[in-house]
Amino acid sequence: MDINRFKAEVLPLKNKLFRFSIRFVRDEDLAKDVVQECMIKVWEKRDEMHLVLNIEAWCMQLVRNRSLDQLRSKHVKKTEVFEPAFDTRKERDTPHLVAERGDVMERIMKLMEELPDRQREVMHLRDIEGYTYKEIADTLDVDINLVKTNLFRARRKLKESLIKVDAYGI
Amino acid sequence: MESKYKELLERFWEGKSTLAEEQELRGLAQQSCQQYPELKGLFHYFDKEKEQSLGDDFDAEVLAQITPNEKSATPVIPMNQRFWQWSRVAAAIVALVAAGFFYQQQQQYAVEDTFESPEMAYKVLKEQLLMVSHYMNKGNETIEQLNHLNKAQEGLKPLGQMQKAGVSMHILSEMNLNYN
Repeated sequence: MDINRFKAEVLPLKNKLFRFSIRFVRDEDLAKDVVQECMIKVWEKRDEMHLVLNIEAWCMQLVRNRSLDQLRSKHVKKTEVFEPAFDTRKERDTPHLVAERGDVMERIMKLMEELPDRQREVMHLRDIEGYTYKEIADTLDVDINLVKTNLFRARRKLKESLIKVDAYGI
Repeated sequence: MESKYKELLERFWEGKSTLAEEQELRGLAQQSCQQYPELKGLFHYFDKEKEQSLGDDFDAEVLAQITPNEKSATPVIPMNQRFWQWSRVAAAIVALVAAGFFYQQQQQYAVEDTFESPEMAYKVLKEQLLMVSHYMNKGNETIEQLNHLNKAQEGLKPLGQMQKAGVSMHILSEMNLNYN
């Protein structure tokens, strides 16, 4: 792998890697460091790159492992990754709807946080990054059926929680 | 439209929808948000999450870190024969220039005169030598004082008699033994 290929194939993955790392470390600065470390590691291993079938999946694996190492090595301060109020100025919905959606978003965020790790990362890769089941299976190095099961469970949990809250009218 | 939406939604919750269907569902949820605010909120959340990104400065940082490694991996050291030949010539020139410089310095030092007339120079030299002899005499006086130490030694001589007394005492002690 030369520098041009690195620029074309590895660097553009930065945002996906960054978001994936945030999922684990829950800190933007730390996630940035993790991605940077992984990029440098990829460059150091450029001579072995021809053995890697799927560079993206490999990079995602690197970031996942490094992020989990970070979590294990020290107590990572849990910070507010998301803005408490979402920017809704461009929306043309009524203030009531906007407020309601803000409330819904907060609940969704909390629900996502509460999901088991495996379900959360599957849902992240599917619903935020738009990966296929096969890509998720490659990235997490698990069986494709396990991916489907985890996604099903994650969505069911979200559905139940959202509908339950709605039914009680909270 | 509504039935299609419900069907897609059902497949979505069951985890059976394809990526294309999920995309379609997103579009429909945007249109009919009145009924399902939570679903629109969910997709909005996913979209917002996807907006998190790293700036261009990140690329620059990474490239800056990996580029020096690239250079050191393939070092180019221009050390051919021509370099050595020219280095000999350069060393010879440096040696000659240095020698010339020192020679000139020496010459300048030797030729330089401090006084214009020999009489004047003699006068000043005499003054200097007198001053030196004055200080030397002063030093001699101090050393003479040290000679008094010799007198002290003479004064200590009577103490040597004590030794003789010690010998006599020894004889006395022997007598004492014999007596016993």
